[in-house]
Amino acid sequence: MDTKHFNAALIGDFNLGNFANYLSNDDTAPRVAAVAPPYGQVAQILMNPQHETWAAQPDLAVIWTRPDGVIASFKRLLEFENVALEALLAEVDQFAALIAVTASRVKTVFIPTWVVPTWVEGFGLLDLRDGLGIANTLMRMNLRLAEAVRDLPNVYLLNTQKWIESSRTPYQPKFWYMAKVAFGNDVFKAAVTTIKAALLGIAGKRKKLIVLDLDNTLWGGVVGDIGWENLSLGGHDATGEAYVDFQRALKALTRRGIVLGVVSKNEENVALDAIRQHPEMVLTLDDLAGWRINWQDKAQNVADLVTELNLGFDSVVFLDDNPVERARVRDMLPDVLVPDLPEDPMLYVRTLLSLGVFDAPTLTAEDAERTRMYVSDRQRTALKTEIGSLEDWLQTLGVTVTVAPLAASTLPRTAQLFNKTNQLNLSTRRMADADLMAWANEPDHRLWTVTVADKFGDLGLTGIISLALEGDRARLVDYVLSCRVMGRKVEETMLSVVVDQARELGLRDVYAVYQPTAKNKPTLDFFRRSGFAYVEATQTFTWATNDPYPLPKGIDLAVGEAI
Amino acid sequence: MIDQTARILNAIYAALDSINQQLPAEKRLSKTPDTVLYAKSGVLDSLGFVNLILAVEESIEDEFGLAINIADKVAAKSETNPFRTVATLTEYIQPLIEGETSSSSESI
Repeated sequence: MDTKHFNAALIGDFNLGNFANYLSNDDTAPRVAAVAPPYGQVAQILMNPQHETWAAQPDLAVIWTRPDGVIASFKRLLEFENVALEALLAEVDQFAALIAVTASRVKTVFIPTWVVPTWVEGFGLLDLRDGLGIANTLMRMNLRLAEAVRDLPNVYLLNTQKWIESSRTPYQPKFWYMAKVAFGNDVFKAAVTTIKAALLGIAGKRKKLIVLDLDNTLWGGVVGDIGWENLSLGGHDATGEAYVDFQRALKALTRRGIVLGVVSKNEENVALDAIRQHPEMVLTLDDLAGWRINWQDKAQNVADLVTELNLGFDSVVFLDDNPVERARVRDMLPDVLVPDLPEDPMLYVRTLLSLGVFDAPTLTAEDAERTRMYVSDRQRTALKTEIGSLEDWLQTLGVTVTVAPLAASTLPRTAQLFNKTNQLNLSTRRMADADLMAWANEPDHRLWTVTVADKFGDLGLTGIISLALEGDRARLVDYVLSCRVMGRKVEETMLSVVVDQARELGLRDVYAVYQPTAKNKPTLDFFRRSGFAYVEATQTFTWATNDPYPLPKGIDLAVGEAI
Repeated sequence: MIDQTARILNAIYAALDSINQQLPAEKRLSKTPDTVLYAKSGVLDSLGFVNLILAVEESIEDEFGLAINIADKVAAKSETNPFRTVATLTEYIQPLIEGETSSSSESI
């Protein structure tokens, strides 16, 4: 999916013109060109593949309805008629079926959840009573809808209530009566923010690393001046509690795959002592993927840390209480997101959680383990420094590589890796989950996932290789490897696997065509030293299958069935 | 002390800031008294007109603490459409505010 520009169809039972205008004219990335076809024709548009809405081939659809606009039983309930819950939920299922049809037509579908205006009191005191209340029924409807679309990976329910809570005037009756606009403009603006963050997340552009200052950011006070024993952190103190909560919020993000690093102007041993010894520190050194604690320029330190972690600057958030340091990092590293931290640390958590840059379309086991993987990397690197030669280092690491055909269970992680890997990526194709699986299932296609582990732990699903069979030749279509495992001979192992597969199929050779991008030069560099014959004019690399491609020493390879 | 006309003008300009968020850069409304709002040569469509009404009413409430109704059904149809330009809208709002202010004073 192109992250620079999206075409959106906004389909609703009320006037979405204002929403379309906000979405189309918001200057932040990614840009969206939104079209709102005439409202009140939800079923007609969703059911009819020939409808002009689909002719423009939108990338995404937002289906935003009022519950009483599309679920007739709920409208009757609002008028206090007796309504059978099962019949009402059956209507929700029918609506979900329309969404499923839409999901097969566009790459992404967003569904704002159903709400009723704040002045709808329903049965008052009894409104949450099971089997009676309007509020209770509305909750059930939203949950039923969530259940019904759970297995549609490209459908996302968005929480309308959050937008309403952040709005000054979420409902304006005058808007409704004059133009059939169901919400105040603040709600649409909040929806734009959510949808843009979601699009970035889906495109693999979410922030992955938070670089943190220490003094007056993770704790109150300057540790080098007052010692760790006197820092404001925890205790029976409002500010101290706020710093602890901030650390908790950061630690919680690590469970969603966000990695933490520290860049601080301090004596390293003094700062590390504080982290290790302060009894109320929530974050430990094992929560940090890396740090630069010295008196050097912070922007340079941030750059070095980001490079060490093999991340792009556009995936980084820098948090520092000092506006001068923030300005310096902003100037030197314009791709890094540098939000203003409020002066009051009691507002830090709110600021962090309101950034809206950590959304991901799926949460994989690898996400939850990412920090641990970086910590293991740090230990591996330390070992590398001690040992010297890469061959020896590999022998001591005990690297195991497991190759298996793509399976439903590995599809979400595979698609995530497929769509976000830039450096070691031969073709840099971008495909949604379902498209990737469909491609892999073509009779002349083969696609394998590569999982790597070593004695420090499981590095997870980190590689993808695919072949297209073309007569007596095999074209290496995808060759994708996470930078997390680069330089450990997994690259050569993957070539060994594809050549073996081609030999088993009796094919003459394997060839790969390098598709250059702004970021995948490491792929070209690797293939040029891979031993494959290179024709520069066509950027083509070929291996004749008379000979196997040697499996690197020290690699334990297992080629298995689909998991 | 800023006179009332200037305050109304500022309130309308604040409303234009809000309206401009919905318009592409080349169509954004400039903050001048001569800016055409809702007329044949204007950029606002009927939905934009409704947005203008609500944004101006909200701005006036913020500035003066008064709830006025500029969506009077006579107003848009009158021969001298008060929504033609920023200046005509300012003139239209002036007596509405004075009326609200005097009725508030009378009720005290």
